[in-house]
Amino acid sequence: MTDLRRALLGLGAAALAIGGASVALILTSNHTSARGLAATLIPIAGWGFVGTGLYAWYRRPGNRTGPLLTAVGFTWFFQALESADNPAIFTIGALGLTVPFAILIHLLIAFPSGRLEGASERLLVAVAYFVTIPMQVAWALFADPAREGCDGCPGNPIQIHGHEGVAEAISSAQGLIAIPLVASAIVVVFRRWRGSPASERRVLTPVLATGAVAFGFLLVQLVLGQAGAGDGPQRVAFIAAVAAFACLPFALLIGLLRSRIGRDEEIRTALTAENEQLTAELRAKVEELRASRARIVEAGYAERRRVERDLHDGAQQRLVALTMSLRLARGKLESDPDAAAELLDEAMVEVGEATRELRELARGIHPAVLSDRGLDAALGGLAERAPLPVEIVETPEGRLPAPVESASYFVVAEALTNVARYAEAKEATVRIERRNGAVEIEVRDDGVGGADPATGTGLRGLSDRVAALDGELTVESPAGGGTTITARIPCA
Amino acid sequence: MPTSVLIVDDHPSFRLSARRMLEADGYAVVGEAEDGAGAIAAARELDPDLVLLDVQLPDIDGFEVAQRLRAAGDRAEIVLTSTRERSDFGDEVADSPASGFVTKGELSGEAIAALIR
Repeated sequence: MTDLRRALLGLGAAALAIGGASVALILTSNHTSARGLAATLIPIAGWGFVGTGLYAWYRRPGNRTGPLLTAVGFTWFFQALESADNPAIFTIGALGLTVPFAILIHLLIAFPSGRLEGASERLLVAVAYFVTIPMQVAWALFADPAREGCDGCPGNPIQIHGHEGVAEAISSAQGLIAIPLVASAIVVVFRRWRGSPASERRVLTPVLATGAVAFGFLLVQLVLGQAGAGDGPQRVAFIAAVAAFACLPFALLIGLLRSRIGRDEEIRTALTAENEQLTAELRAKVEELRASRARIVEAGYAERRRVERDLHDGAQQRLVALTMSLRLARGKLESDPDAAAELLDEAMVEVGEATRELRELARGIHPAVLSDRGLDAALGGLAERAPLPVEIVETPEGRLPAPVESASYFVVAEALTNVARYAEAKEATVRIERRNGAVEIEVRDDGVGGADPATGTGLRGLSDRVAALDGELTVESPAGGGTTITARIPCA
Repeated sequence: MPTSVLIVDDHPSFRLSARRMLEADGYAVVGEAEDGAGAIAAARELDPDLVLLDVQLPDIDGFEVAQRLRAAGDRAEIVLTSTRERSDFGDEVADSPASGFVTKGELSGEAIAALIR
């Protein structure tokens, strides 16, 4: 058992004992009228407040609603002490009589968070405690129960005699302050209710409605008192207020239950919405991956077709021509040595061209210099062969993982090919840096801009190549403002 | 009278080598074409005895060109050629109206003469 639970159970047991004693006090009182009603309403309300307070305290230990409710319940029993025939107990009851109403104002204004928001709420609650504690003590110091219309009541042992009229004045001041105080509390509570969303109103309505009714009756009683109305109507209003207050803990319990149910529904709705969103995102991601995979496969086919076409149109044709030149040269070797020599010269040119074309082709598949000597050397070669000035501003020190190195190289190669074809640029710069666990590749030119990755297969192919390494390719290409292609590839 | 030849190929280097080769072997190269449409027009205009026809052309392939030549009533001998081997084309060579097939690497007057006799 936790300490909190043990303490709460102790408080519960104390409340039961105090309630039982209260019933005994009321039923044995010589001066209390309507003892049956008092012996019913006071313990029901007291236990109700303590019970719901302890439950709320246990469920939400961080929320002050539970302790406040429990405090209302315990202080509620002061009313029973007023039934005592013993003067000391009777006076203690009179001293604490009004305290639960201040705590109730505090509770209702702070409900359901348990916290007071803003200076005006704090002021209201401070005034409530001032009226019900120091002013009540001041009143008790001068009050004479016999003068208050209770002839059977025991005497007031702490009464300061010789100042008749002071108690009435204090009581009147309490009433005068309490009327606007209670009215303000009702307004605050109503505003709180009106400004709440529907889901919160489900929780607030039972509590605030019951509280407003109870304070409404209390207000009527206070106004009647100030207006000098007879005891009868005042008593009826007070009993109605007490009855409404007795219902308050149960209204609060309904609110708490609704809050749990509402919260469960909210959680379920939120989870469902989140689940749907995640599913949609996942579906989109899968679709994107599927499309990207299809593009990579298609790019692979296209690349193989290109290699086949390049071989067929290039080196293969050269070799065919070479074969024919050699055969012709052999035929002319004796009959026309000059023509044979000329054919052999042509054959050598063909061999040179075939070699160059094969080299280009091999570089397009994978540049050997990249594997052998790294990115810096390979980029140097790219810059050298480019038809415009290309400055390699920065390259990472040391070698990168092969897939990252290869992707970086092809990003630069494709970007520079695009610059040469479309950008009408005067120059381009290349920058590759390792930063924050990634490699950032940037190719910038001062050309006409307007590049759109959605329309060019080259840029989209690069984007797929980078995405295959969990990277991202961005293209900034405002019309007339040059183009900057940036790829970021994770690289621990 | 030498056999007149129309050379159809999209690679100028091959056309030049083939012209030299065939002329050295006693053929008269009367024209060249670099695609299928050009081949059909040149055949109609030049009426050669032989069309040396590359299979892979930029517009229509050599098989299609051969069919159209025949459909147009052209009686010239047709020899298909390619850097690839005959087996790369399956039955298409046999099914075409061409007299035969020679890979480019083995092209010579003799090889052609063996096909058209």
